[in-house]
This record gives sequence, C-alpha cells and structure tokens, in this order.
Amino acid sequence: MKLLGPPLSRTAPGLLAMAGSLVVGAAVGGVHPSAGMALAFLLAAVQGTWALASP
Amino acid sequence: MVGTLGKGSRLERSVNAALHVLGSTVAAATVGLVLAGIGGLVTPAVGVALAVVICLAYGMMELGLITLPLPETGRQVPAGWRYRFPSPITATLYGALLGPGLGTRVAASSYMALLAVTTFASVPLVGALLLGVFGLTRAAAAAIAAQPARRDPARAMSWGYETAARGRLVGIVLTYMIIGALAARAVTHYLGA
Repeated sequence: MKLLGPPLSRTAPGLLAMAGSLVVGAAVGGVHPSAGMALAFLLAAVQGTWALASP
Repeated sequence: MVGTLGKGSRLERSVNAALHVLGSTVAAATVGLVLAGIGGLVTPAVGVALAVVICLAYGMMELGLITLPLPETGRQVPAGWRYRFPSPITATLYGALLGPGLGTRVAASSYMALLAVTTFASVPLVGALLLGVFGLTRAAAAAIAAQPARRDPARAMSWGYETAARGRLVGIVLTYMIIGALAARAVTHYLGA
C-alpha cells in the first residue's frame, strides 16, 4: 500500500485525532455497548466511499 | 473500471451501475457473513480482545508507525473482461470482485480494523451488514463518479485522490473511536459480571 500524503504520526492532527478519538470512543462505548458497532458502520461507509482513491 | 460504468446510453449506464452496486453489495455481504461465522468460533471475550488488538495494530500502521501485511495483490480488476463479456456482466463481475475489498488494492490500512470488527466482534448477520455497507458505498461511489467520466475521465478518476487525506483522517478517527468503544465495552462487561 502506498500512503497518500505524509505519515500522520508526524503531524499534530494525526496525534490529536488518535488520542482524542480513543477517549471519545471509550466514553461513548462506556455509555452504550453498541457504540462500537455503530462506529464500525460509519467506518464501513467512509472506507467504501474513499476506496475510490484506489481505482 | 469507471470507464465501463460510464459508457453507453443513459439506460445502459443505469443498468450497469445498478448491477455493479448489486454485485458489490452481495459479494461483500457474503464475505462478511463468512468472516463473522469464522470469528464466532472464539468466545466473545476473546473475539473483542482480538478485534481491539488488530484495530490498534492497523491504526498504528495508518499513522505510519509500523508496517503490517494487507490482504491485497496490487491488482485491481482484469481489464480483459471488458472485451470478453457484455458490459452488464462485466459491471456485475467488477462489483463482485471489488466489493469485499480483499485481493484488490487496499486504499487504507484502517480497512483492516473494519475486517477485524466484522470477524471477531459481530454475529454473522451484523458482519454481512457491515461489509455490505462497505460494498454498497464503494460501488455507489464508483457509479456516481462514472457519470461525468464520459466528458472528463481524468477528473472522475482524480476525485478520490483529491479527498484521500480527509478520508484517511476520518478513517483514523473512527478506528481509534472503535478501539476505545470496544475496550470500554469489554471493561464494562467484566466489571458488571
């Protein structure tokens, strides 16, 4: 796989996204056990749409 | 592939697009059903733990920290099918081949997080729905992009590349949110047990 753009680990948005997302995900997952699956459906839709980047 | 969906009369394009979406969705849902069935062989607790570990590993790969194998071959669809079969069959076969996202190019390593959740944290019906959504949106995006491709093929093909950085960031955000949510679910389960 060829990464599109610079590695996000070297960018502030990438690190912020990772840390913030873990905390927010844990918070919603703690409130509702189905939150992880709901997020997975959202990821499926995003990944499907974006897969066109590799036509 | 986009070229196949963008040629012919309006009726032909509509039929080809519908068949492409149908082939992609059905193939992806079938793979999701099978993967979730295989993942059901381990206990739910082990399954969630495996899903978290795989999501974390490929989330780190998405950040450029490590490199892991991906289920890809570097190939996309066989170009020869365009000449061997009528376009409705070609569109359907291309959809079925691309829909599950296995064996063809993987645009984002966080796709593995989706496969991990499908396999280890889903019952078969949910697994089928999860990958079915992936197959549906993947084919629908291609079908939509194919419409202006008749006039400007380069622009239609470049759409994905133009939005790739945003797509990666959203993929990372969702992957790590899923990790947090699954971990919280496991902790809540054990504390409540």
